[in-house]
Amino acid sequence: MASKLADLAARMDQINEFDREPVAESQLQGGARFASLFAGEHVAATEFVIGAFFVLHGVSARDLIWGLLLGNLLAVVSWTLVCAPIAVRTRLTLYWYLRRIAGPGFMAIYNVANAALYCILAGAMISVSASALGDWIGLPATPLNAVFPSSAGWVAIAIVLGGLFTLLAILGFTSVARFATVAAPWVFVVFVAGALATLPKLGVTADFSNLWEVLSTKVWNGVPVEGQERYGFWQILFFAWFCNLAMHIGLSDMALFRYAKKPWYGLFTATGVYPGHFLAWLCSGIMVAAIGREMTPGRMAEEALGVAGVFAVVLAGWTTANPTLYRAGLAIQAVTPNWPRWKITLWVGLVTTILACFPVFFLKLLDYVALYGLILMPVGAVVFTEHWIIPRLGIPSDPAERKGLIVSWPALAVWIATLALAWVLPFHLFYRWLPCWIFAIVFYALLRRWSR
Amino acid sequence: MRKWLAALPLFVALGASWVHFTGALAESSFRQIFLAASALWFVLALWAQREKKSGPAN
Repeated sequence: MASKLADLAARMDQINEFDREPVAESQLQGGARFASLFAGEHVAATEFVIGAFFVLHGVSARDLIWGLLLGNLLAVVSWTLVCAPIAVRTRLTLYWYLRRIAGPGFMAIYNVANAALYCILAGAMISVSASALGDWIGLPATPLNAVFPSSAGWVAIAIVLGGLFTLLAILGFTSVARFATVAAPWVFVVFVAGALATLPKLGVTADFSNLWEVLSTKVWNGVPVEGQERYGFWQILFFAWFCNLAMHIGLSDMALFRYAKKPWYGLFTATGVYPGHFLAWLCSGIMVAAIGREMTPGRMAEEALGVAGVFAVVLAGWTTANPTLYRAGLAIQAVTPNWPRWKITLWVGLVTTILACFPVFFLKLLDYVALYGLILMPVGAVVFTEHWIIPRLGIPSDPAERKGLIVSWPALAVWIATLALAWVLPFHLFYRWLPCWIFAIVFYALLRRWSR
Repeated sequence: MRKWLAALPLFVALGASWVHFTGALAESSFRQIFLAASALWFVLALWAQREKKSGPAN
């Protein structure tokens, strides 16, 4: 077991070799670069679903607006106070920093978990695209509680789209990524224009005099659709805060912030989260209200913008699934025996396409986003503790590197124990990460002190 | 300059949705304008990107 992990670790090191060294002073980037980098970051296909789900969950307009404003603020603060300072001080990616702390074997486990989560996320994005195409060609809408595909047509569309996205990814991730940078501003315009074009259908007058009344009675009216739990201010606040948990508290955005001149560049994430996780969610909520609160992203965009709307949902699914497929491939590159890039992508694409056939992944997207962050969060807590708390306790840092460990058992124990705690905590799923994060920090500090 | 020219269709698409909202543009016309502006955006933005790539370094 230990030799297998060591072998895996050696291969992972090879893959990540190019960013082994801390970023040099000359490579640091200014604030403007970060502002533009984040600007198009959070407008994806999933925004069509998330914003619409808030309407279906019967949140009131006031709760939604305040919840999103404050939740996104907390997310920006988390990037600024938790992720960016560690990245700026170490100038390392999470991969190399965590390797020093928890060992290369731990990294192998982390990478496999990450790859699996990325595959599910990419599958959900393909599902969103498939649902748009399905609505357009007249397939029956998938029920909100569906786990399995509702028709052979749905499976066929998911397979065709998944296969196509995979093929295009094999032909060139970089070209699709370049195309995605062109598509991102247009997708944002689709949200805004779609909502504007929908407002008259809901009865909003041209002088906006009845805007609030319409929004609070016909869009976010506080009444959930049948079978959906009602969400209030706190659920919305926590959702906006944790929907990028793996990136800020989970520290995976260290890869970006290691290039920042100052830790306060974390504030620039606001240029991404407020357009994407505030405005776009409000816009998709308005659009879904106009089609009788049915979770059919394609129909809602078509109703607002015609065929361009359908195209937007399919394209947003494709351009956002592409980097996710890439990241999943990168994460499992080490566990595949010297496979070429195309073969890894093919297998990742195959798994993702199979997952995309199951509508449950996009119909339970809010819960999945919560789980995704929750699963990776303890790793961020371990790094946070090791960086800020362990030196203050007078314990030497980077135990795995100093002792030549393959796996740091305190780190692994904290990860497992935190997930076990999250499983049994009697709170709403959205609230569990915060007490679990605090638990992970305290437990790791205690284990490190005990095992020094 | 190229960037601004490429961005023009996006402003047209947004402007059309605003005019439609005010009631001065019928839905079918709005959708046609939006579709045409979207297509033009992709053509111009991809062209601008290609020009930038093949253009001088400075």
